[in-house]
Amino acid sequence: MKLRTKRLLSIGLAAAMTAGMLAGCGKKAGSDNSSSNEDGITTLTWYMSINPVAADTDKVIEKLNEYTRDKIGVEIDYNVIANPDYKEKMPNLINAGEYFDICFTANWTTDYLQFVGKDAFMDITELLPEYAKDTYDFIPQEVWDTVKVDGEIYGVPSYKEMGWQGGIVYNSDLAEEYGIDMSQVATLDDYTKVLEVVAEKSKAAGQDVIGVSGLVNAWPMAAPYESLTGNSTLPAVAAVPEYDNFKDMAGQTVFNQYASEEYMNYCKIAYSWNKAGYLGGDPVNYDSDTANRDNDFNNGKLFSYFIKNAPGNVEMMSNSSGHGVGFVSLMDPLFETTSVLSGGILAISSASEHTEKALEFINLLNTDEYVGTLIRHGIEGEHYTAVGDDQVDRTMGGTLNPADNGYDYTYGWQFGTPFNQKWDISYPDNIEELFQEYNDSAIISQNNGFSFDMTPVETQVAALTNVIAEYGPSLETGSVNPEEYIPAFLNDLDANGAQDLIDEVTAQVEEFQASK
Amino acid sequence: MKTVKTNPSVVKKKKKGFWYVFKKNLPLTIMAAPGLIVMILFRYLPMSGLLLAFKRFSVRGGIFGSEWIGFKNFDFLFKTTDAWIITRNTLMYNGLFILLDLVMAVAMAIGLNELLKKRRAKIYQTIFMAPYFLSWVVVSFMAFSLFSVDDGLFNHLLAYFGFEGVNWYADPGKWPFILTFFQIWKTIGYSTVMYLSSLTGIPNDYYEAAVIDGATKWQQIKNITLPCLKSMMIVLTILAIGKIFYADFGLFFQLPRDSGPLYDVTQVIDTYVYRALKETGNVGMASAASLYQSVVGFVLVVGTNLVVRKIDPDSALF
Repeated sequence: MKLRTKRLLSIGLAAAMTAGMLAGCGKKAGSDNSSSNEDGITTLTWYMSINPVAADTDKVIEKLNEYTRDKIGVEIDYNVIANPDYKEKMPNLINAGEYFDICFTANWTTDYLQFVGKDAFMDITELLPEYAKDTYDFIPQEVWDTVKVDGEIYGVPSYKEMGWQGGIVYNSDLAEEYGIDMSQVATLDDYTKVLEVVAEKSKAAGQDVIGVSGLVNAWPMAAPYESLTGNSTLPAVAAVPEYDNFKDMAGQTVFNQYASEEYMNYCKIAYSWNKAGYLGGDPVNYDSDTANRDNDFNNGKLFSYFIKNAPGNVEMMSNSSGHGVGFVSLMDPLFETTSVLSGGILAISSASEHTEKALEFINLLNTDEYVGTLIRHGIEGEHYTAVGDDQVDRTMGGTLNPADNGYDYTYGWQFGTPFNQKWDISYPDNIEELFQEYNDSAIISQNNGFSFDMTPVETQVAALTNVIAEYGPSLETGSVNPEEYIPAFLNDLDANGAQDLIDEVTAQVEEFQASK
Repeated sequence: MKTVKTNPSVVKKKKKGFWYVFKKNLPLTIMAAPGLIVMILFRYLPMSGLLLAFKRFSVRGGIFGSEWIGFKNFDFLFKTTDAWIITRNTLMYNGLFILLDLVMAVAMAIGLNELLKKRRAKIYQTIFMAPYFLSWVVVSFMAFSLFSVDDGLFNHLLAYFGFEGVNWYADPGKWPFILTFFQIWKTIGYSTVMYLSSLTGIPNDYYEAAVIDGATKWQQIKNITLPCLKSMMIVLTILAIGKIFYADFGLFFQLPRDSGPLYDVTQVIDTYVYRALKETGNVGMASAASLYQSVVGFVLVVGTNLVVRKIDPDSALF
């Protein structure tokens, strides 16, 4: 009897296991997610990347659906994935042919250009003015230009600050304590003196404050250029006349930025900083751990770091760090093709059966104040309280700890433009004006709208990427001697087809300019 | 493998039909079925994806509809100045690992087996086995706590004894040793257990007979233990050689913390492919790389087996 039970059990177990394995292979039978139901409501499948996935997401989406059902007859099947996972999962879902209507894309996650090249996204150039007219009119033409591939638009970009502005954020309380006048700083050379003072004074006070971090991002800020390939590290860039740099490359439309005098100078400065101990001993590893860096910055153990700034950022940082924060700009904002791509884009699948509805929905995200506020700040009375007509308070008058807030994405640019919505009161009142000012000061690059087709030189790019990964970070963080390493770096770049890449980019840029 | 001997009278009878054979072997077939099904689903069906190695992948076209481009996807593996470095590193490291793993695991297995106190042997075995279950990411942080320039244990020790600190992550000369040490440290326990299990299968009579004949411990090991382990050693080595063109990504990417100055000694085919394709995300080129690895692995397994069969037909895998 006992034996028999055992045998039955084992057969049952084997059967269950086999069934389990087979079940994994079948197609999901139930929800046919692409259909509209009887009462004419269309369900749109939306894959979104945002950090973190808020606890009350379902509640908010339910509210959103109530609104959009009446407004445009749409319900959202919302699939939200945290940024680090989205980056890994979404490309696989697309490659595997999973059905979706809308997905988040950029050049840092689920690469926009790459998937446009793979025919994954729908060409919406013609449909935009018809189904998302408000959004189409609201976003400046220059921004639309950046998402064009061969003159066609494949996604709706998040319109926020135009371009990027490199600079240094610093602990202004410490600066005051040490008697440093940051207004004197305009270049990296000037900053050396500041770092000297920080090292000297902090040592005298018995603390070893690290002078500056974030050098992995600092090189393009020291000598801004236009990244023509969509990747600022690939050696094929153009000079921007307004910055008045790269004199030794004059006459070349496209050149290798690593061969320039600017690069040598920058690396020398970084090397001298590292040798003087301003970078904390191990800059490459220190830079890669941003959580640790933020912690050190908040605790006054790190004086400053390089960032790409946006309006309102400094105010936000002084709120979160517990001490004063200042910003020194190293350049005027630069607006180029990659600036929008490095933000966010909502694209529609080339297999979508509801392109028009999807566009109408994206239009709401960008222009409807109720939708815009709901998707960022959550439900009024539960996740925020209204302050006046244009602001919200995510602490609900101080009664709600931001850490306990079940739904709060600050200004949530990943959902679309943050302009047509209510801002949190931690931002300055004139935040939209600040953005306007910033955008007006932005230098628009000559080749804005040019998108590089990498196909003919993919082999070279593959090899070059490896070479750059080998030399770039160590040189740019001052870990190795530039006099010794830059010539080797250039040698390897040449041997792996840097010239082929430059030639190809030059040919494509010239064609682009001619067709303008 | 040899077929099971059947009764000669059965063989002499006229050939039985498929259904007869099927029915006769039904219990065996059922036992094999789940494994076979899984193998077909996860090993053979996906092979159609190999077509991608010769295509320019497009999402709309899918695996079958995409455009053919011949061998262009393979170019990036060879048209680089690193081609020699990645091939050398992959083969040399893996060759070294196979050799060291074989020698040290067999030595440790014999040592553990000779321990008279079995309880203690079990404890040692567990200790050796433990690193096998750690992820390379965890190991890389453990190593970082040893090698970190400003906070590492080694640099603190060096400073204590009055020496200058070493920038471990920028000094390629030391990494072949570091990599080899961690690899062996991590995998040795697992291989030891494999050999230990076949050691327990050696009948005690052999040793008793040897002791009566006055054989020393060393003679026992040389003449009984090692010959009995031979087939296990050959099987594990042939399998390892099949993987000689696959480098352990975790070991070569995580442990050196992706440090550029170390690429000359840490760049292997897997890390190269990862770095090359994370920008372009080219599915075709990724397929090409893994097809290349598989083909080389296949050729090596068949080749090694051929050599083994020439030397000692009984030990060959197939």
